[in-house]
Amino acid sequence: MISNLIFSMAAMGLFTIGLYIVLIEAHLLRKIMALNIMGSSIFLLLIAIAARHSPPIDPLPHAIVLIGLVIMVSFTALALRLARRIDQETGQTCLPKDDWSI
Amino acid sequence: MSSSILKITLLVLLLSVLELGLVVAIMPTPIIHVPEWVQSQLSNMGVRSHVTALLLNYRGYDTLLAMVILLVAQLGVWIVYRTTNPSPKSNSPLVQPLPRWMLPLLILTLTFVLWASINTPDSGFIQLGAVLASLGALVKFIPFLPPKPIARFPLRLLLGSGLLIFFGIAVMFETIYFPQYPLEWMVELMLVIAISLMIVIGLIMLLIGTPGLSWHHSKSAKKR
Amino acid sequence: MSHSLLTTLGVMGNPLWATLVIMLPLLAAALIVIVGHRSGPWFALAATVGVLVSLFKLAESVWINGPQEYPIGGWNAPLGIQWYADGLTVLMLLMMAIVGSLVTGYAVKSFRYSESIRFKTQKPPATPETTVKLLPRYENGVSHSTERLKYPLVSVADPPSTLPALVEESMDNRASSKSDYLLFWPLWLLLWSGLNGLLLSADLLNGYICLEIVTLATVPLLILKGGAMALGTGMRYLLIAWTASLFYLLGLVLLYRAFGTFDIQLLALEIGSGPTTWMAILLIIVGLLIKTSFFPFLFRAPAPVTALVAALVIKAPFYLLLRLWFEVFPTTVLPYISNILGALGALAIVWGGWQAVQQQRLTLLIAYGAVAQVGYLLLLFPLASGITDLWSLTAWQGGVYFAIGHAFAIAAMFLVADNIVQLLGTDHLDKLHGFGRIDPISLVTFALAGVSMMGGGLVASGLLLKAAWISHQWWWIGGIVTGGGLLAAAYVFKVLKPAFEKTISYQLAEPLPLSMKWIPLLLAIAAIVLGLVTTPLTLLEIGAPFEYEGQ
Repeated sequence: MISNLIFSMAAMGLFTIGLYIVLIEAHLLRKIMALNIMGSSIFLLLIAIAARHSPPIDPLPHAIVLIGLVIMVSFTALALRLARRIDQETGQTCLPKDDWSI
Repeated sequence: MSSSILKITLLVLLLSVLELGLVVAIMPTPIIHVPEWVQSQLSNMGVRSHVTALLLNYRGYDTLLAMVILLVAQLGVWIVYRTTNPSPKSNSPLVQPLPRWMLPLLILTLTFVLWASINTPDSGFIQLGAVLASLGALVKFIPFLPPKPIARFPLRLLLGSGLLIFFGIAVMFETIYFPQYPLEWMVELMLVIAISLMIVIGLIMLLIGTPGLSWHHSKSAKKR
Repeated sequence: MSHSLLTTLGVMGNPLWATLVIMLPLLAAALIVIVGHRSGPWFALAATVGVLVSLFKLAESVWINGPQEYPIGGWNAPLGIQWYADGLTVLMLLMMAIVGSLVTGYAVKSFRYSESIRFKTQKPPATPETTVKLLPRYENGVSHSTERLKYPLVSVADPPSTLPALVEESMDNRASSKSDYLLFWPLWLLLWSGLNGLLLSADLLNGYICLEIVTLATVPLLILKGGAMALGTGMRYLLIAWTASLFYLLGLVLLYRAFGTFDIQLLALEIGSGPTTWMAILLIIVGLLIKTSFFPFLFRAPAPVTALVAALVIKAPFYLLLRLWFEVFPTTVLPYISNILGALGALAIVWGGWQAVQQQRLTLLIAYGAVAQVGYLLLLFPLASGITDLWSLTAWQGGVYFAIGHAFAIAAMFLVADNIVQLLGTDHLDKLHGFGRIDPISLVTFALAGVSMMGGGLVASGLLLKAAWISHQWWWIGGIVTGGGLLAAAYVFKVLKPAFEKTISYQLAEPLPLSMKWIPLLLAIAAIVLGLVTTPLTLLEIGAPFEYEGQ
């Protein structure tokens, strides 16, 4: 029970750290990695939920984690290719600032 | 100076408000027990493990949508990379051609992994697709093989047909069948689905990382 | 306890139509991938026809039999996924289908038109030899190109783009070939399939996955034109939408942790108040609100894409919010949050309208106007938060009906704005003089769409105002609605005034094909009609989450 709680709290801590990095860092690669950290923290929470009482382990969160992984990989792949392309086009690895010059 | 004050303020805010809220939210509440009848329902299926039963039977629709997401990511990458110039090979120290003896080893590994997956009770096809993709990605660095796959017809056929197979089976199951009673060939059907999904996942995760891959590469190559 | 006790549980229905609505676009997209990208519009046409037919059948069965529900594959709720279709679902599905098919019909001609324009104005492309010579060389791992300043360990020497990436004027002169636009079709079909799946599903996790399909399909659509600005916009949208999705997912997982299910109806039965519920609700609302209201200024995207995003993609998270709010969230929590949402909506209306009035460029004016319109959607929540009163049913009907008419009006607005900009070559307002003489259809369309943006449709606004009056919230909601209408009138007339003048001060680029003109007109007329007709409201009452006397 205590270990379950430790995992859950660690997951929440990781989520907050990930969110902080997404908001603070300007480098695109770091943002993408931080988003992956946030996603992984949710998966950690799901695994902790699955093991909340040991002998019959709840299989539904496991399935959700697998599907969530596929979604996370797809998003990361698109984001990375976009970041790479932005780097090619503009030579910078941060988002172009001109969009908000209204 | 002010930006670091801003950062610290944001950090404190996040830690206090969000983190406290989240920690309080996950404090042990009266925990829902997985009902017994759910367990018994799961063990009725002819498929091997509970997670696979969930992924392919109960939540097969979710798995189908996950494959759709992979396809969407693939199409998205094709739009982002509309360049038709294949990138030449680089001399960076990070990317070295693999020694020639690795190719037979890779094929051996792949065969073993496939064979083992068929025979073990827990067929995790998503993980297998990832293994397939990583092995295929390594193939790029074998020097005597052609460097870049091009989105010609066979590749696209494989990509689309994995989805189509799942779609066909999904439609059949969703609209016609009520498989409360296990079918004798359901296990084999699930195997077909799992293998086709594995191929799709492997292909997509392999192709997504390939620079210079373009839908209309062949057309513009003809133009020049 | 939530108000699920008031929701009529559905009748087990024939799943064929719902299946077709979701699967036909998927099938068409997979076939496009196999057959080749040139077949895109044809498969899209076939899928559109099929989906419209299935939708009418589905609407018919909901009309006759009441709310339909169907467990997928026969596996029931705790482990399996359910489809649920009531009046709200059917109306929103129809909205997606009709607006989607009209906008994509416009897109067929629009892409060809853009390509012909670009072909006449672009410079001859660089010869292959020139391109090869421009490749940066790597020697000893250090690049000699001036562009690669920071990261000499970049592993692949990529060729630079053929045009320099400058900060561009409003008209993007990048040479985009027709084959680039052909990838629009499979992506649109997958996006549409995701939208339909989201509207039909009664399982929150399934809803999450469909929401991800929608987001992931929208991002490359924003980048179709290419160029550094479009890429930046797409990246920004991806990052923010992804963050919001993670908020939503965390909220869902917290709800699962406390109550053990993802299904909407089961969750509505099980849910109770508590810190977990509060936190989950907060996360879910924040996530869905961000997704509903953040559409970055999309003038880098092709016009049909802008119209689709602002009209349809916005409605998907809004629909999830509606479902969760009225079916799942416990009623003890709602009154505190509903006023916050109303305040946010009011802020959006006032700020968006004020910014729109001050703009000098047409595209930005309409973008801010669209932001203001999203605020109206949020006003629904404080008005409808008294669950068992008659006025909350009125407010709910008004809000949903507004959302549906809004889709038509916004789509018409974006399309006609792009027509004007294409024709004139610029979008500065002081160049619009005498525009009404040459293209009266677009002027009429803009006026009609502007009327819709002012009033939001007579029926919908009337219902909202009536609910505001009865619920004694008149003093601020009524004021906001009226103020928003006045601001909208101001910025619409700001555009219309020079257009009616006699003097002509522009040069006509290339005459627009006729279909590019009458499709926005059709959309604007539909928006007006929806503002006057009340028949869809009776469809909306089927399965409405309210108890009401009579009827």
